[in-house]
Amino acid sequence: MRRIGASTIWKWTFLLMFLLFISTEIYVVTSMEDEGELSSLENGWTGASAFSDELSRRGFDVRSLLTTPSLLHEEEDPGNTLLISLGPQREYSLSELHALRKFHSRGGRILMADDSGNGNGLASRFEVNFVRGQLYDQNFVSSPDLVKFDVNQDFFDGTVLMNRPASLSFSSGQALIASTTSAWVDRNGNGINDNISTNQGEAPGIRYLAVISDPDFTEHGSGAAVFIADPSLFMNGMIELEGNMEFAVSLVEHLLPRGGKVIFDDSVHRSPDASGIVQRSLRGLAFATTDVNLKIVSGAMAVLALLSAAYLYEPPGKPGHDCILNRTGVAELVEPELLEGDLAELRKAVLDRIRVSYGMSVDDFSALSWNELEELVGSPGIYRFLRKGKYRGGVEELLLEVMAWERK
Amino acid sequence: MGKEMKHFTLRAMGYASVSAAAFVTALVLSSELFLAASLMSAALFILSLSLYPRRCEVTREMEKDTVFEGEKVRVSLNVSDQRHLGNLEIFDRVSPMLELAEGSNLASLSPGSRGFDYTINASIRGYHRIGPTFLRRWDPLFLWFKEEEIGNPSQLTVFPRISPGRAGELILKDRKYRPGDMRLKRVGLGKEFHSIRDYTTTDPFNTINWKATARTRKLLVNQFEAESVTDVMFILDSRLVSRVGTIRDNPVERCIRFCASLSNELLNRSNRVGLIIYGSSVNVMKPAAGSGAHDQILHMLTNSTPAGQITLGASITYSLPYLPPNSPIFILSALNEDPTIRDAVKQLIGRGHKVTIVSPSGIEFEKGVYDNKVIPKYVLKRIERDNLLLDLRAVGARVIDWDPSKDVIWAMEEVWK
Repeated sequence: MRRIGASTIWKWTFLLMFLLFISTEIYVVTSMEDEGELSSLENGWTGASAFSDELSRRGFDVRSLLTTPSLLHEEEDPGNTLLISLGPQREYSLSELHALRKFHSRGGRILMADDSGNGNGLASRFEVNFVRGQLYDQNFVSSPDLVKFDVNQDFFDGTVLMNRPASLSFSSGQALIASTTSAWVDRNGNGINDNISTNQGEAPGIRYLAVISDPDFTEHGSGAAVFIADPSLFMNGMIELEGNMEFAVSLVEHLLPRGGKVIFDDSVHRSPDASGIVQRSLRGLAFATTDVNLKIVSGAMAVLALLSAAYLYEPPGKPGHDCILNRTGVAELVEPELLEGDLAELRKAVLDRIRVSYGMSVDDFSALSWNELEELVGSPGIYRFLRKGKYRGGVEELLLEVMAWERK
Repeated sequence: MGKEMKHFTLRAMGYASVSAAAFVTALVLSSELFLAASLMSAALFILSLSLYPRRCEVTREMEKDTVFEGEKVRVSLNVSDQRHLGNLEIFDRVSPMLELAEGSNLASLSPGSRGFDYTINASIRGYHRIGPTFLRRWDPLFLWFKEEEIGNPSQLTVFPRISPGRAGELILKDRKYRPGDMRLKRVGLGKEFHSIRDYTTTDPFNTINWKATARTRKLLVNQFEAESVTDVMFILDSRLVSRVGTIRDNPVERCIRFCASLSNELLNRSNRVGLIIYGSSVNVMKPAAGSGAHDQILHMLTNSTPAGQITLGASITYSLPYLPPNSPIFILSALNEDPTIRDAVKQLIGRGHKVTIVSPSGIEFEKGVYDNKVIPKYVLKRIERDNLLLDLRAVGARVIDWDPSKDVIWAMEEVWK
């Protein structure tokens, strides 16, 4: 079987890794929509730069994470770090969820605001669920989409204004914001409070719009995660309305009582400006180097390539002089033993020996009778072999007798 | 300049892999230590490749290009680029029919080396090729190499060994008298004066030089120059089946050495010598004299390759027109695997040729392959060979059964007897 060259293996390995990188890039870049919405780097109406700037002004160390939350593994002081994820435009990968959970278990703080369901991957790990469908309540401003909610917490007492909020359900933790008893969720999206009789979730009742997973985190020194059912609260266009900014800042200060680092997870948004280009170009590499699955795949491929190379590698041959002078060849003694067919040849050879010994011509010798031949031969054993083709003992004995034969 | 082949070594792969793995680890762990290791590996890799030896010329010098069997030839290889910083691996291809006597035709030249020498033992006749040179250029750390064949091959002509003949005159039965005989510068039965010597009782009276006898007061006789009178033909068996035993020593090689030695003796005595070689074809050289004939015979013998299965009968039928009438003929053959031998010899003798058969025993060479054990087949073949030799003697040929343990000089002595 033809062996594949080591260089071929390397070429294919590098090609596969390159394709893997490219496909990762394509997946990451194309999986996001609505460029820049709720990004801390976006200054437009839908951006969250105002909130970010306000936190900076308040003395927080504000950062923007462009590549992947997997980098949170490397966060050195998670107890004084808050990750803010506003309206994620993609779902988190398993390795990212693992990194976020790990971040939380190390004392990290998380604030997630979502109304699309993309945040459910993370929320479900805290026994919280973002319920799909717009929430309607009686306290709306100019339009049923803009709903006001009262917040009565230690860190903030006032109202916030939300735009088309979703709602939350939870089995663990504590609600921070709740609706009135007349609130309902439009599960089928027709804008009408229907299907009450079929109990499909549109029945009026208290709904929750903000939940904290660990209400006593300050006492225990553990991590905390806050989920809010409307990211638009943090939008540049909404943050200055009602008590939104104060609520948001107070919430951050509540989560980070000693101040610290605030990281806006912009990896879930498509960055609008030059940083977006950096983001897109680095994300694949960051994925390849931080994503656990990709690490396993890359490492396995590298090990495979090395093993293949080691297996297929043929060291350069050491040339040497091959002298053939002592090679042997045979022609007549190819088969050392006498075979059945050789006996006829032996018989002819014996007759020839007798003929030549007596100096007879072939014609004269052929004219001899058996009795005359017997007389010439003298040896009964040889004569028997010549006459009947039979001999006593083995063929070796016959050969010895023939060799010893001499003319009388 | 041959095709160039490029290769990485496992060591190079190791360096590259370590470098890449350290780089990835550095990214993952944000470790400067791994980054430094990665950069060092890469730097070492690049540095070694940058000191890669340039293309160079390798020239071969041979002490002599024409020798006789058994002689040694010194071969020198010189590298043109003497300041190279990498490593050179040079292999000078030598024909497998040649032996290395001293040194090696493979050398690894460290940076700055100029070349190397080795010595060849020309054990067997033939036109042997030396070269081209196989060159492998390495970087200083042996990470990467390129292979190429460079230079033109040289030819070493090895003539068959010529053994010295016995001092004296080879008396051939049929002397051929004719006008224009060549005079030999030695004593013989010619008519030209050669020298004076003391009288012996067997000298005829008409050879006494009376003037010299009177002057010196003792009987002195005249001696005359010998004259060349004979055409001798050699018929050499060069069939494949005759090359039994080892390549170094087999009936064909024995016959060739014998032919070279005896023809040399005959030509030295100003006889004319012709040669017929049969095997895959029949090559005929008409009888000729002098050094030109000697060269021609040596080249024919040197160029002979055991092959084919043309019989003695067929080759004689083909070459009959080239055989001088009544000339002595030497048949040099192992006499194996050829049913036409008896009739062919009969035919020659019938035409008046004096046939001498010099036959190295093929089955004895073959027995040597079996560590000289006597095996049943050997006994059968030996009986057949003995019968054949008796038969050939019976028809009038002189047969010399040449045992492999005897050398060429022995065979020549037998001819002289």
